Amino acid sequence: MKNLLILLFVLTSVLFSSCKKFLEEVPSSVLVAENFYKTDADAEAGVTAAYDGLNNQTDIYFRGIYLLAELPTDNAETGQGVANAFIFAIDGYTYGPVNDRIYVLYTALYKTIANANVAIDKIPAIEMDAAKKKRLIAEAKYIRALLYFNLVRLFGDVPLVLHPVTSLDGVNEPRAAAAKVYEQIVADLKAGETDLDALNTTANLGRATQAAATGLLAKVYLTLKDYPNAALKAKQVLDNPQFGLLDSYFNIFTPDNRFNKELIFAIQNKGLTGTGNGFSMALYLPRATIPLAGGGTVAGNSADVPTVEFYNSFKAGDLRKDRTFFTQYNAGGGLVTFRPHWYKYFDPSAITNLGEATLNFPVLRYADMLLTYAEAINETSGPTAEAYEAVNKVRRRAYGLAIASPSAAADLSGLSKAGFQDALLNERRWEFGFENQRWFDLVRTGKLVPVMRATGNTLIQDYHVLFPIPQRERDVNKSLTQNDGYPK
Amino acid sequence: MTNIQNAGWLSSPHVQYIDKKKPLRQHVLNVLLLLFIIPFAAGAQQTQPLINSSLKGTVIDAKTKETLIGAIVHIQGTTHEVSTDKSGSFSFVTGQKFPYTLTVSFIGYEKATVVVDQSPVVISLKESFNQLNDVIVVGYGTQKKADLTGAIASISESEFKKTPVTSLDNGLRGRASGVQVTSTSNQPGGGTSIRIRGSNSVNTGSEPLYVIDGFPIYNDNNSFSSGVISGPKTNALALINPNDIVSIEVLKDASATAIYGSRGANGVVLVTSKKGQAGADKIEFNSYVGIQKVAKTIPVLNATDFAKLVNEANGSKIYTDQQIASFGEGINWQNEIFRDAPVQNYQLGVSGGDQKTKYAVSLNYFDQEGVVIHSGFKRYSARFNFEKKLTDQLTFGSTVTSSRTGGNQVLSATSGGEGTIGVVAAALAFSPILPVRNASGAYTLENDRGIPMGNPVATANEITNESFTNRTLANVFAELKLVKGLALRSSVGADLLNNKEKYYAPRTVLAGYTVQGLGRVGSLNSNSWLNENTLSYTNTLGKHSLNALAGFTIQKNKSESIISSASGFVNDNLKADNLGSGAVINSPVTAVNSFSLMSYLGRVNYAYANKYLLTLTARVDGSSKFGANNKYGFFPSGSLAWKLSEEDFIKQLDVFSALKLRGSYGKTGNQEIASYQSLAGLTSFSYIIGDKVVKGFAPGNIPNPDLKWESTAQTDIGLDAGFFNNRLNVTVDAYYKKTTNMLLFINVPWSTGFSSALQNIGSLENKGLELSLNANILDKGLKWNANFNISWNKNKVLDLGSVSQILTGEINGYLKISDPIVIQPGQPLGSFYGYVSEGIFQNTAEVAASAQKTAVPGDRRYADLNGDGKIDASDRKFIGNAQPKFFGGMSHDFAYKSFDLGFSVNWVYGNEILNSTRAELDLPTGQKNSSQRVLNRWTATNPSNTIQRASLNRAFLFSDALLEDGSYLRLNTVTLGYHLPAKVVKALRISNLKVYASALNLLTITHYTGYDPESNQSGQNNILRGIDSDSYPNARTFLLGLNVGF
Repeated sequence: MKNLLILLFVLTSVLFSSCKKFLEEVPSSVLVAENFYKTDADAEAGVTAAYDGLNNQTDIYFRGIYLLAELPTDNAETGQGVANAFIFAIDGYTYGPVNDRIYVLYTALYKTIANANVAIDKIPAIEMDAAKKKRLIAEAKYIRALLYFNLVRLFGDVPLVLHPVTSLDGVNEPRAAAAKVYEQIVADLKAGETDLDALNTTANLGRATQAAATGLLAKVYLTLKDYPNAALKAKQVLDNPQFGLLDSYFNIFTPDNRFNKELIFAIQNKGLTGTGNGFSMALYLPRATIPLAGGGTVAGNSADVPTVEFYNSFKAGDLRKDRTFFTQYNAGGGLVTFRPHWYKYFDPSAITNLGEATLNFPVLRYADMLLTYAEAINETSGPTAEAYEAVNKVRRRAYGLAIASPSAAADLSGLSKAGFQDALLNERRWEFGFENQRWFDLVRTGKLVPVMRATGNTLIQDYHVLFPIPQRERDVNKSLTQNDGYPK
Repeated sequence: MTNIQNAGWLSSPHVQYIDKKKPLRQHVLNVLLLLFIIPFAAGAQQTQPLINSSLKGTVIDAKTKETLIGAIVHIQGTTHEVSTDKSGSFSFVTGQKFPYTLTVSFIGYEKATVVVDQSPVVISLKESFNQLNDVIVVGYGTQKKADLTGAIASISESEFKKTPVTSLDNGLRGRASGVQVTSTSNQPGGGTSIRIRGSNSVNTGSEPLYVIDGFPIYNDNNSFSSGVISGPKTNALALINPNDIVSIEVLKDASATAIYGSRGANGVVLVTSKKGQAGADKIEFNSYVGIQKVAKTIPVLNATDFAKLVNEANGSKIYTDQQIASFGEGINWQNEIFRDAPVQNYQLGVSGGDQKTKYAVSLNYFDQEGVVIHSGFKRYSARFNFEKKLTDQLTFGSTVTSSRTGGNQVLSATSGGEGTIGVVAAALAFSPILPVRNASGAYTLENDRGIPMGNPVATANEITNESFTNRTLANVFAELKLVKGLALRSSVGADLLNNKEKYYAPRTVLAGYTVQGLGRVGSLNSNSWLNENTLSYTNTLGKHSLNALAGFTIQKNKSESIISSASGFVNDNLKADNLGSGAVINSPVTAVNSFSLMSYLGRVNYAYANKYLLTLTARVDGSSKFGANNKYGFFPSGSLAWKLSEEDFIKQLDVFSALKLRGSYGKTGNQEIASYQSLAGLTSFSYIIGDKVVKGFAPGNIPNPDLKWESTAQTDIGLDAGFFNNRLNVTVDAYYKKTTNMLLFINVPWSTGFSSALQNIGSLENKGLELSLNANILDKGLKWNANFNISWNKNKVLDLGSVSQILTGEINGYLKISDPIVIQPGQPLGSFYGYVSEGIFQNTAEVAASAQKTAVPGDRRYADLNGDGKIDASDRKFIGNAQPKFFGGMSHDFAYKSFDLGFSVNWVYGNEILNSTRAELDLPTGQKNSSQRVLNRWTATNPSNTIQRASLNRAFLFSDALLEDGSYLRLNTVTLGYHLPAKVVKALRISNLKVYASALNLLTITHYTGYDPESNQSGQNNILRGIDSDSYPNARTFLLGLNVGF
């Protein structure tokens, strides 16, 4: 008996101590990098991880950018559903380097860039179809370019990280000059112009295409004040027969019509998939006013609302007004009216499930190319006939007129260069309300400060054309400087 | 284990002898099975004893002459022992001839040695005040208290049982020096956070290791929740019925904890459950019932005052004067969600045994409703302890505890920014003008004044938020005495845990309204097994005595969880019980986590002449959690003690009845990080391509193949002194602990795509002084016992590597107070960092002269610390600390005839609390309700210097104005008991009966204005401590109890 127990003791000891595997970690529910990036499917999954950041609604498109590019302009204000003091600060120009909404956007942009960087670095070594490999890498580069374009416009000089970080060596990347960041954006987009597909197959709808790269390049050049190139690239997209203006402004944003020829690049959202890829309408729909057929009211939050001034600024007959806002609705429980709320992204089928709307958020659309083209031409040669025609197409559509036929009522004419600039800025405001363009347009045209002062804002300063580098980032990375005007 | 039940094995044990021709694997299998079989085979091999004499006797208390039940009577020089029965008598039939020597021992009495030469005998025992003779449990063994060389606090059953508590961790409060207990939630079943000699770490878990009847458990409340319910997690230690506990030992210094190696750094709590005693079978029934009342409410504005505030903040007549006049008091939402709640506990235990077999069985039912509606906690538990001496050499036994615990929790605090505001938070902030239900009986859905929050009554009543855990801890052991002094012990244990959680927010509450009902269901299955094998050797040779231990242990844990959720239900009837009927079925989340630990341990206790004591301990631990380059760690310790009281020069002083000087040094580790941190794991993503969901993967962390243990070196010097025949015992300890290679999530720039990376970096220290006194002041007619302990601990972060500061992020609440605590070398953990408030601007001249040019009179004024003429981040400084300067406890127990009276207090002194509840309530925005302090807000005619003007502006800065002194002294328990006199007891044919009345948390002396100065919002987190954000209120409890023994 004794011997048995002793044997047991010895055996268990020997059995387990000789077994090195006992202490090896074999995570069964987590994939590990070492075993990944081997196949065609892995390559696609790597790129998907980069796309995913785009439709993380609170982080990037739309609300992450909305809070910095729409809210602090004359287009929008905080509604009664806002509870976060940092959002009030952005709206009121009292924000500083410590602001959780600025943090959220900055973090998400870099997180998604990091995912793109992994794809760009890892896919080349995967054995797969060469054309597809090139396309996937170019897609990741497109996402990287798009997000750096946002970063550089919002923050100016930013760290330019182009490779995945796998150890703590050299993580404290200093700010790169904005020009350097733009150089990289242009290089990535140029790769896209050749390596991306010209047109998406049905199975690939939503991916970046060559036109998306060219169109974004046009906007990049416009921002860089490289007007000839901006005009050139915009024209290239305008001449692409796959794209054009829809006759109906309203239908650009209709969920059922979400793949249309006006959209050059759009963020894909689909509800009821159980994967959190639905578009959430809760924050901008009215709260507790619209009755539902089955009792109760639409559970909006009224957090993100347009200014009444913006609502009233639309001219009579401009059909865009009733797509940009709504002030009344019948959800089956009777018609009610309320203060103006955003209406552009509205999926009536998701009225009882506001987080699960199916609709695509436009990043780049044909009308933007027309107005980019007009702006570029005007800057180099003044308001030429071509420039007028580009903006007037947009206006004719807005007033429900035939796009190709000149209209005395809708067409702009006889403006000075500066007058044309102002008219264009207004046109962009009406055309792109709630599309996260206003702050960028105002900054690009140098109008942010005067426009905001005109609204009665006394706190805005010249330095507000850039947001502050997050204080947390500067605390961690000592090499980062702060933008002028903010506490150093 | 099911193999034991196999009748074939049991009936023919002889088949099991090893056949040498069989393959080795078969042998191993047989051996494993035999662990359970040996006892049966061995039992058959006893021989008939020779009878030379028989002896009958009784054991009585020397003073009261009452008989003692269960005293152990042992014939010296033999293995023969019996224990006294119900009437205090014993009898021997033995091979010994008269005269021979008996040793008689009984817990709480001095051991007696008696020479007997005839039968019957009456042996009287003297009550002992000398706790030094007590044998206490140490890691992997027991030791006489007098021979300890390490710092160990021991809490006995009698002391522990003074306070009826839900769980054992709560019972430690104020009972032992160096042990600070804070509750993470006052909710029934809420957890605690315990720090033994301070926080040892920044990111790594700093809860002590609990060893329950030999099974090591780390008390991480989160890891025992499937993660579905919102709000604080239930207490993982609640599975143990506190009534089953016979002793708790708290191991504090490295000498005591090094035997637990990589898990010893935070201290170790050894919990031993009741075993049967040889002697008469005892049946015990214990019960108490009571009522709990909310100890404190926070005064908020009534409807009239609130309406006036709304108008003032908006600068317009939102409410007309006529309306205001009609509002009156309105609703006090606290009254709507608080209630008087019952608590009840029933326990039935049977225990007993004889020379060969001991058993203890108990059943427990505990039911506590919460003082907030729809919260509560229940425990059903059963315990079975069994021990059988098969031969003089071989003993085997088992301990099994099985329990079901859980209940419905209410979310008290606010967990997110916009939208999800907790019940207590909403009860304080909801508009008092709105009714609970409207005229048609439907709940008012939400606050109508700007801050979106759900009706707290609806949220509490209608949301299902329940967690239930079934847990079984089982251990089977066999112990074999090989030769004299040498024993082998093997055990196999298991910890089987199943947690099931359900959450459902119906459409009638704000949380479920948007999504038309939201249901979540989660389940967690966590299984651990443990095998321990130790060899121990004891010998005394002349003046040398030696006790050595060597062992090998392996432990493996695997936990699997699954969470499903759905929303968009047709109606709310099915709640979360049919997720498939939802319109939106969310992707399920499953996860598997496992870790393993393999260890070698050893200890030598050596004593020379019972004066000089030496202990050397070491453990080698291998853990799966660490990087491939650093799997193993070595944790040694050594200690010396000198029993000065055995020296003649001390004896001559005639002052000390005991005096011992101790010193120890050693290294222990901490491995409480999540699994797989050293690997480059991938996170999953999804996007819509081609109108379909596609899945993606990308790295989720920065891998670290060099990851290793955090290690803590500790030096301890202690003195144990006894006076007046040990009626007064004093223990003093001073220690210094330094933690190095801290497992730190250091912040990395967001531009990397990550926010932090886990590294071994930096160090921190804790140093402190502990004093405990134990006095038996009176013992004649009136008995008076007193315990007192006090501890000072000073913590300092020494080094964070290249990191100059660790920011701690946002805390809960809609104000989103950011980085209130900053970790910085040279400062202690829990240091509050913010602006300095200078009151309120009274006039424009003050504004003009200040650094806040855009302010208006009535705004809060801050100190321009750097004098640069503006207020910005550089005007912050360290403004307070969440760690107390000292803390402790005291208890007094009196007994007179049949009555006893006891009370205990505990205190904490010198810490600050960030009262974020008050910060929110003191902001007069009119968008939610405010505290009554807001009545004194600044106006042109009321020059308040504490509360700013009414304004919709919610912008604010974190300043010392939000900190409060967290010191308190609490009368924890008062108990008055009455024992039925012996005659009555006899007449009733029972062995004892006690009735008692207790009051818990009767009185708290504090300046703190929140519900409870002990609350700690962030649970067991090391970084965010001392933050009170809408915590669940503390209750005052009154109990009536009954203990009956049969």
